[in-house]
Amino acid sequence: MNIKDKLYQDILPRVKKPARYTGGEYNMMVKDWERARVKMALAFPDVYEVGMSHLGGRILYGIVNEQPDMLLERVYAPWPDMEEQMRSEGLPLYSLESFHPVSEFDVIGFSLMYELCYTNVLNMLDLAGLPLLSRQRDQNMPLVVAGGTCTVNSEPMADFIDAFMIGDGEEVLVELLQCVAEHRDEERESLLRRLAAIPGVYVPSLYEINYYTDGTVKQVQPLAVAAPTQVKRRVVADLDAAYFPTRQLVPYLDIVHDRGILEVMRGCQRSCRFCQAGMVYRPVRERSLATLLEQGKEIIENTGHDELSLASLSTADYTEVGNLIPALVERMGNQGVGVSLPSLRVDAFSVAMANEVQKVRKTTLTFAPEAGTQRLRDVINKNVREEDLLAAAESAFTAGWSSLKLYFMVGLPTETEEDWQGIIDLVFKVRAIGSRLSRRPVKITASIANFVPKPHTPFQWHPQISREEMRTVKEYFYQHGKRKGVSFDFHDANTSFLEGVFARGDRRLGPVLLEAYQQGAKFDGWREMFQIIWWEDAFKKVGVDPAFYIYRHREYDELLPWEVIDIGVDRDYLIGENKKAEAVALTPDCREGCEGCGICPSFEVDLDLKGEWRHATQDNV
Amino acid sequence: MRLRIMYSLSPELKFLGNLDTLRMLARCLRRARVPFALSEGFNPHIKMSLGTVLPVGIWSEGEWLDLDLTESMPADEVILRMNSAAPGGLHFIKAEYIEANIPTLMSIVDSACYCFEIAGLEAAPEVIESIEGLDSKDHLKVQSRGKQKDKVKDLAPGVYRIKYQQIEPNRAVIYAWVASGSVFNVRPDELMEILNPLLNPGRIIDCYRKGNYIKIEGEFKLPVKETFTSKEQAGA
Repeated sequence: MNIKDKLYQDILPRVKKPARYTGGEYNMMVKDWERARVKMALAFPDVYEVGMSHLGGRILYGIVNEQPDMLLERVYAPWPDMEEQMRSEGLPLYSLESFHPVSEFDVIGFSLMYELCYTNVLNMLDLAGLPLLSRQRDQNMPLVVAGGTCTVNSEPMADFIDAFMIGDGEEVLVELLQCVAEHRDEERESLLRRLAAIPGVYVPSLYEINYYTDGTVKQVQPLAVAAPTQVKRRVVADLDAAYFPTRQLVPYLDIVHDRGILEVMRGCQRSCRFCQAGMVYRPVRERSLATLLEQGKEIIENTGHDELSLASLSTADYTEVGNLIPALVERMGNQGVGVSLPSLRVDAFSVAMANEVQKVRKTTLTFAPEAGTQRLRDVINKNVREEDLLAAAESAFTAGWSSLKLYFMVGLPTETEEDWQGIIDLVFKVRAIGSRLSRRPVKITASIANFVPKPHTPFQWHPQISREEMRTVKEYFYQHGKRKGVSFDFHDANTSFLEGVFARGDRRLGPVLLEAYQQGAKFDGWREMFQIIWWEDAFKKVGVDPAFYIYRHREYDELLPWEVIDIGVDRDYLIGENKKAEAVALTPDCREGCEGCGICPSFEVDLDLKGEWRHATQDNV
Repeated sequence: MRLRIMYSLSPELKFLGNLDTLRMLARCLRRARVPFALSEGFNPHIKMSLGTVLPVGIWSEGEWLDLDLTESMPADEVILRMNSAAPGGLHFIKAEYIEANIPTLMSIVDSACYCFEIAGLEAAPEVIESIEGLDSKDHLKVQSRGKQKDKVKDLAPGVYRIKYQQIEPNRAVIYAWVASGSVFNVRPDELMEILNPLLNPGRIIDCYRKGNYIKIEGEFKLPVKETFTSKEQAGA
């Protein structure tokens, strides 16, 4: 019996949400298996509903399948109930387009968006029937590659992934597949050398890492001529000219972001010092209004979605946003199609914008002031003043919203108890405004995340807050933050701990990952699946001290394991930003004047703005 | 104006839930650029309604959909457009405009025919007799699979007609016309619980819904205009 028949008859009737495993969505692209010169499985190490929501996957799916001789099919991590059925029935991991075993593809490409999905990568390789370790696989098995945000520090996954693609994937993936098509019969090591010569491709096995006795990195030694000392991130210079999919897959299931996605720009240059995305996706590149209107129209026509999301790191900062939103609402509103904004800036302008797109559908509005005092907001360079937040809250409550969500972080550099109290005071002030202006009872939810220092950011040298400290903070909020209509949600301390270890880890974590996986770890980002004990045991058994990675203060002269990747922002700029943080000095948005982060000259790119940038945003509603 | 549309869902789509199906239909309508009507209010949605819910795991040869339009478009044109915008496995069969006095699907569809495909059985006459005799039993008690789980449910009042048909050696089909809808609902998985012990060594390899009907004087009629006009004539 073939895979599909077996699934429909014996397996799917026994699992939850079987439509996760059937494919067949509208706009699915099924290419001729026999005629494709190179075949890739795009593997997303999380459930279908999460993976299908991911913009990068939608882009790569279209771009590869539009190449006449290439084929790309999807696979997502099966939920444990499905995994159990697959293992007991001997069913291998298969692709949703043609139900081919993943092991029959030439390339398996994982999307690494979150550190806690790493065990799922291992589990998916195992379900595919492949050895987990890169060095145990040969040219008769698929090449295993990875891309996505986490690859800016690829090191913890170095034992398992053959090659990483760093940065924008639009061009580099096609180049990599081309190379595989031409040289796939060569010995694996020879192919890897060829891949290493492609700009933006990092082949970890071609580098030897030497350490000092204190455990820090002494030297990163390329072992092949083809392997560059530093791998430069790939950057698509002109987003207007870049491919963007308007025939996006239309899922049957209610996925996490169940809507069409229009990417208005890439990058963000507000220079928040904690924010990894703000550093590693530079520079800002906008799409033109005309392109976006055309793509938006095509997406709705081709998918039938009733919602179009304007995606970017900060959509309110798009220079043409004041023209884009009214034009979209005018064109689509009468077909019952809504426009949505994934993130709002903390100001009245953003509220007015949200009011325009949501008309009267007043769900929750979300703002991210990030810190509770002006001092700490200046330290992290989050250019939000208290009066901005209060004005935003006032506009929101006046416009009819009664529920606000506020994002904060704790554990930021230089933080004291005063900053915790600052969060509480700020939340209470917002609530008081709500009680004054809203006709309905107000609800303020403050989400308190633990700050996790990330690689390639100005805070990469800082120690992370410990789990004990996280508990102290929580206790403080329980004691001082009780008020009707206000609730504080805390991120799980163990989850943040593990995320922190892997975010700034090195390749010596590979054996830990393997050990924890063998003990049962998978879906670590899911509270119901996460068991810290497996990880604690794994650290002990392998003899790796997690404190080395997260609780240690790093010196500026230390060679950091992820510096083998050149994201384009100068090390000196990051150091300068960290020093400015210590001095509580602000860095303006780079659109108001170049701060010399280094990306534009060294990568031969430029800020690509389509409209005029004005700082005084209140007046351009 | 209201259009009543008949469509089928192939086995590929049998794992969709009712909300998934509604979403799929709405998106198909939008792609097809059919002049559908939108509801009033802040969160407008396409004005359409389905007949009875198709259970997850079951595909169907005849489901029904009522759709309100803002302007007239020939029914054939609507079907053509929708089929060209439909995902594989969804097929629109026919459509007709219905007047406002025609009752809604939900209020009139009260029965369905399920087909069970059996492999590995060449039933002896007495087995066939016991299967086909199920429709005249006084009681058919099963564990309820619906909302009231754990309760024992008597299917007998809702099992109207059972037919056994040998298609080829080792392959047979059982047709079951049963109550469906909000008043009394016989679920196919409940029926299987009754059928399975009778089928040994055969086994059910597939189940689908043949159609949705209105039961009128022992006859199973489609919810189409003709049914209502002939009923009026019969009444007169």
